Amino acid sequence: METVLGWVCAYTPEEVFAALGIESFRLCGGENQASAVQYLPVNLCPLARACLSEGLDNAGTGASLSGVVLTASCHALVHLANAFQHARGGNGQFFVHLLDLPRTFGREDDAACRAFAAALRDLAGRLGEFYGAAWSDEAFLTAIDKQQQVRLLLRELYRMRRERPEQFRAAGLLEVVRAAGRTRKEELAPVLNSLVASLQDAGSGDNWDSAQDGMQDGGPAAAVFLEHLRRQGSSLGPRLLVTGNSLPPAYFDLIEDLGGNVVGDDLCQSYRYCLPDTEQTLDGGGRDLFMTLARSYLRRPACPRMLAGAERFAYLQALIRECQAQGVVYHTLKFCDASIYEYALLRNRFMEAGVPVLYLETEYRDAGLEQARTRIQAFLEVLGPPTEKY
Amino acid sequence: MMDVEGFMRHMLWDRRRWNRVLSSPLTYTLLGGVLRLTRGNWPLDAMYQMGVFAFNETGRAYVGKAPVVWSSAFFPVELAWGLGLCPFSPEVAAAYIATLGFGEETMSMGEQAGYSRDICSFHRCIAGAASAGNLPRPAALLASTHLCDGAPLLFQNLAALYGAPLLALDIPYNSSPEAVRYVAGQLEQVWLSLADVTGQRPDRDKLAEAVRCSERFRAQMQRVNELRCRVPSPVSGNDMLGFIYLFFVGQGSREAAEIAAGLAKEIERRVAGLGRSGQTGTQTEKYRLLWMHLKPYYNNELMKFVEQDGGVLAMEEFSHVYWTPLDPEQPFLSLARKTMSHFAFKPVTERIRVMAELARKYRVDGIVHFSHHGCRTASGGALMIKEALRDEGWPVLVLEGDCIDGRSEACGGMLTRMQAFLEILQERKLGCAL
Repeated sequence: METVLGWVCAYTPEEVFAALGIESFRLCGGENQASAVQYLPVNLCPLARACLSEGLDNAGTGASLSGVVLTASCHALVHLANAFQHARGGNGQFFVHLLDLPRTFGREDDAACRAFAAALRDLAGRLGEFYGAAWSDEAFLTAIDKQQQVRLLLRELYRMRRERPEQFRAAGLLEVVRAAGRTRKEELAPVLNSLVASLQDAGSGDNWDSAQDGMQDGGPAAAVFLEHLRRQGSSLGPRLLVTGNSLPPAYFDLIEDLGGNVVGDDLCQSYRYCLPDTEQTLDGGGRDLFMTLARSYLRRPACPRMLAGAERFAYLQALIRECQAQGVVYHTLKFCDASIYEYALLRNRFMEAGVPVLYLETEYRDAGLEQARTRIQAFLEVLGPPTEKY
Repeated sequence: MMDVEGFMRHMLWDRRRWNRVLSSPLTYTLLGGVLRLTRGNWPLDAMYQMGVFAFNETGRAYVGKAPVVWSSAFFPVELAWGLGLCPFSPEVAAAYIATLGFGEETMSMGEQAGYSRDICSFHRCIAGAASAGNLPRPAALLASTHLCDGAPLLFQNLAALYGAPLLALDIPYNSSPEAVRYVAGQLEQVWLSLADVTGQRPDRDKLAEAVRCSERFRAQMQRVNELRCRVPSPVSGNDMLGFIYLFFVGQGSREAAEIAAGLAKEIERRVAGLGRSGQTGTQTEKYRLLWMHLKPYYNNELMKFVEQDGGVLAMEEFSHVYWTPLDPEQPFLSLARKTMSHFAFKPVTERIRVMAELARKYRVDGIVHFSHHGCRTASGGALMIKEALRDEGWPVLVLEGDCIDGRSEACGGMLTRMQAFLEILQERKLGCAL
C-alpha cells in the first residue's frame, strides 16, 4: 500500500511536501468518528475527531498514512497531533509534526513572516530527514509553480460558479477542491485545464453535454469532476455566501435543494484553499524561498483564528459585493472556538450593515440535516428571489 | 456574622444597582471593614491578605484611579505592573460572579449576546457582564494565544465593544531560540504600545522592579510547594486554588510577593506545630489527591464532599511553579521563556510527565482531572492523560463538569462518580495494608 503524509489546515504548505517528493493527502474526515472516541473527548472539534478517525482507519485515502503535518492553529489540531502521536507515533515510524502558524492580527508583520519561514525551514529539514529526501530549490520552485497553476484554475471554476450558480453544484466544487489536496499537482493541472476550458466553451446555456464532449484531454478524472459539478435542476433562488467553518457537502446540497444558490464561500476546505498568491520568484536580495512562501500564506485574507476581526469583516463585505450575495450562511462546527466567537462579533456587524445572516451549527455529519432544513427554508423565504437575473 | 460574600451578595442583590455600587469608593471602604471584621475566620491569613489586595485593586479599577487593562489568564501581567497600571482579570471576575450566585443570569446575557453554550462558561459570563456594562472599562486588553483559544477571541470582540485596543501575544508552540526572541520582541512591542495607549512613560527600571517582584513571588510559591510535600498536608489544596488571583493578576506586584512570603511563613509555622489554632495539618487526611485544572465556583458542594470524605488536594496543577527564575535585567527574554515554558502548551506527553512527577513528589493516592466543559486545552488531552497515568499505576478520574455553569450538569452525578473513585482509592489502600 502506498504511504502518504496527511494534513488538514489550509495554511499547510503542500509546496514543501511536493518539493521533497513526498505524496500528501488532505484529511477531511467523514461521517465516521468512532476511532477517535478513545483519544479525543466528545466536546472537542468534530472535524479534528473525524480526521483522526479517517487517518487511523486509512479511510478513503486508498493509502496508508506514514505521518501527519498539522498546524498549531487551534487546540483541537494540537490535540489531533497529540492523538496521532499517542496512537501511532510510539515506535518512531510515524511522522508527527506540529507546524507553528503565527497569528497576523490583521496586519502585515515581518516578524511573523520570519517566524513562519523559520518554521517552514525546520519542517523541510525534519521531513527530509525522516523520509530520506533531499532538498532542492529548483524542485521547490516547480512545486510552487504547479500549486499556483492549480489554484488559479480552481479560482476560475469559482468565477464560473459565481456567474452561473444555477448550473454548478456547490458540493461538487467542494469535492474538486478536496481532491486537489489529495492529488499531485502536475497530474491535476491538465485535468483542471481541460475541465475549465470545456466549461468556458459550453457557455452560459445548459450545455453540459457539449462540455463533456469537449473534454477529451482531461481523461476520465475530468469527466468525474464534471459530473460532480453538474447541478440537477436549476433555481433562481437567493444568492448566498457561506462562511465560518467547513460545511459538510450534504448541507450544500440541502441549501440548493431548497432553492438557494451558493455563489461564494470563505471556507478552508473550499475557496480559501485557492487563495494564496505565491510569488514565483526568489525573495528579493535574500534568496529565501521559505520567506517567500511564508509571506504568501500569511498575506492571504485571514481566517477566524488569525484574530483579524475587522479585516475579515471588510474582506467578507467585499466578497458579498463581488458575489452579489443577498445573504450569508455562517456555519460553525460544534466546539470550534474560532468560528463560534467570531460569529458573536460578525453577527452584529452584518446586522448593522443590513446583511441577513443564518447561523448554522453542525457536528460535521449529516445527523442534523432535518433541523437545518427548517432553518434554511425559513431563511430563504425571508430573502426571497434574487432582485435580478444573473 | 456577616461574611464577605454575604456582604457582596447583599450589596449586589439588585442588578440595576451594580454599576453604582461597584463604582462607588464607599463600597470598598465598607468591604475593607467587613474584611477586617472577618480576618479571624479565614483558613489562612494570607487568604485574608489576598482578599484585601484583590478588593483594593478591584476598587481601583472600578473607581477609575488608574488606567485599567484587562489581562487574560497566563498573560505576563508584569508588563502592566511595570507601567503602574491596574490589571484586571475578567476570568477571575467571572469566577467571583459565579461564587456570589449571579453566574446563571450573567451567562444568559452572554448567550443573548451571541455566545454559544458550547464555549467556555468563564467567557460567556464575561461577555454577559460586559454587555450589561458591569465590568470596569479597559484602556487596553492583553491576551496571549498559548493556553486558551477562546480568551484572545473574546478579547478581540470586547475590544471592539469598548473601542479599546487588543494587544495580543502570538506564542509559538515550538520554543526554539528564534521563537523565544520572536516572543520577546512582541512583549517589548506590547509594553511600548501599552505605555502609549495609557499615557505612561515606559520606564525600564520600573519594569525591572516588576520582574523582580514576580521573581520573589515565584521563589516564595516554590517554597510553599516544597512545604506542601509534608504528609499530612499542611494546607488545604481547595484553599490554595483560591490563590489563583495572585497567579493571574498579581505577578509583578509588590503585594503578591509579600502575600506569597507570608503564606510560606504561615505554612512553615504550621509544619512546626505553631499554627494559630495549633493545627499542624489537615485534620482527616484519608486520600491525597493531585487535582488537575480548576474546580466548580458556582457552588462548593463537590469540594466539600471531597474534604468530608477525607480527601485532600495535596497538590493542584494550577499551583505548580513550572517556570525558571526571572532575570530583571532581561525582562522580555525572561518573560518570553516563562510564558513559553508552560507544560500544557507542549506535546501532551509533557503534561503527563509533569503530573506524574507531581504525583510522586506529593505522594498522592489518586489523580482527578476536572474537565471544565469549554476548555479545549485541558479537556482535549484528558483521555490520553488518563490512559498514560493509569499505565504508570495512578488511579485517575476524569470528572466532566463546569467551573461556572451549573445548569447543565447534575451535581449528584458528579458526587457519585467522585464517591466511587474515593472508594477505589480506599480499596487500594486496604489492599496495600493487607
